[in-house]
Amino acid sequence: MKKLIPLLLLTAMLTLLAACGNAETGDGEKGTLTIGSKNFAEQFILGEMYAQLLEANGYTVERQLGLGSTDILQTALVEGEIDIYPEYTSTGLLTVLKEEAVSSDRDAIYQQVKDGYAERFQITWLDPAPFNNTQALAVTRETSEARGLTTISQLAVQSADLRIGAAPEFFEREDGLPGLRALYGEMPFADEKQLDSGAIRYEALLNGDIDVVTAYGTDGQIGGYDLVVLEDDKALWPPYQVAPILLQSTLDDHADIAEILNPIAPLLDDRTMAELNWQVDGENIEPDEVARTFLIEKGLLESE
Amino acid sequence: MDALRQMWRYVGDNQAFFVESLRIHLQLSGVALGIAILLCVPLGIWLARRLTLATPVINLVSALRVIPSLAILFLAIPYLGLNRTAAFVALTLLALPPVLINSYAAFRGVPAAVKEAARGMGMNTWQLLWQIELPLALPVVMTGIRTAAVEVISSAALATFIGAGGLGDFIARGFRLSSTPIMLVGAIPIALLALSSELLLGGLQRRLSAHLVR
Repeated sequence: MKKLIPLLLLTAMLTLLAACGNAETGDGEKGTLTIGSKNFAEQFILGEMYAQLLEANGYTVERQLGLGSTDILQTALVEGEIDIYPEYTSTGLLTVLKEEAVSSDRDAIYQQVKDGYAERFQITWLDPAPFNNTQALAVTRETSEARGLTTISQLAVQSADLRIGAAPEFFEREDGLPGLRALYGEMPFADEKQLDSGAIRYEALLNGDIDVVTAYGTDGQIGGYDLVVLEDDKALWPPYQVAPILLQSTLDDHADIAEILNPIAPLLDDRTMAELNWQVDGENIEPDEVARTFLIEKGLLESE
Repeated sequence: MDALRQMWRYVGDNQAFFVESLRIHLQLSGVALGIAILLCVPLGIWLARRLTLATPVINLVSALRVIPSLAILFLAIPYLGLNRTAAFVALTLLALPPVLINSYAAFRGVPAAVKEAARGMGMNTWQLLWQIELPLALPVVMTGIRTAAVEVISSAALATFIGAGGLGDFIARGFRLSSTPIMLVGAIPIALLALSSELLLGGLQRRLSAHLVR
């Protein structure tokens, strides 16, 4: 009898566990989709928007937000670890497909990357948002006014007096410092500081530890801290428009994903996206909250 | 093998940057370890003679161990800014506990009978410390220093996250680019540095022991 008690307990626990499992997978009659994203505010917000809209339309959603670099997400998508994530047109073209842009026109680039992904990975791109989260270099308004610095060509002349702070990959990628130097000339900096996190890069700029910082077109900090984005007057950086991407087979199985997610795209221009990013980066509101408020405001989601 | 060849090529292409990063890495770990030794060996000796004070101090320093070094780095930013000072402070804090705890234990561990015998032979405090206690305590003190050295050398890789440079730059870069070769440019030298610090300090310990006993 004594030996039976643990056995009975174990059986009871297992039954309980099985019951819990059932309860969890019970709803979401359309199946489960896993949403991924990279690890900065904009991606968390977009990932949340996709997730919340899909949930509102009867899908069960698992969130794998903040996964890191493009290569990690690309691999995860191809291997089926995630089903959908937001990617940028020129990142797909330059980093994943490793192709040269056929033109600098944003629609042409979108078509090129969509065709390339379909052919190489059987991945499809849904509608792109109009905003352009291109790479950029930014300085404080003070620096800009004191030095008459508004374009990258002007920066190339003055760079020897200035210290740059940039993300690790910026020093290696063709659309980073090597590409800038190929186009604008030598551009030696007084110091090159490698700073891994965006928050710390802006902090370094505001503290005066660096003078020039790498930024993205829709970074909330640009408006929030009144920074000046240097004009890319020789057009090194192509357009970076975002779109949800997913395996063609996933879309074939769930055709309504396109109808559910495509309405987000036209709502997101540079300014709107930068404001949403600032809510997360500057005002410390959670990305899921920012996404929900926005979707409700635009009538895509019903308020609870 | 291919990764190693690419790694080698990357080092060749970025020689100046590699040498500079290596120099910063050595400087960061060397200074932190140096400060820890200068502070903690004397403190350990002193504490070994003041037992009531020893327990709280040792506990306090041990408590430092539970704070992750990355957290110390980020916590230091608002006070020290984004520079090497913050990294020095964080790495020194990391090196303190092993050196202090081992120094204290080593000098506590010298048998009272031995010390009494030495005094009986007419040695003064200074002679006792130098000729009896130090040779007996040295192996344990050095073990603490070796532990600290390995910890500091590997943790100096984190300095990259606050812009202080070092070999961690390559690890962060390699990770961001999903490039194993670039990651290895940081990781292999760090591993080699940690290993050679073990060998070097081990050798130093034997030399010192021989010297002190004689």
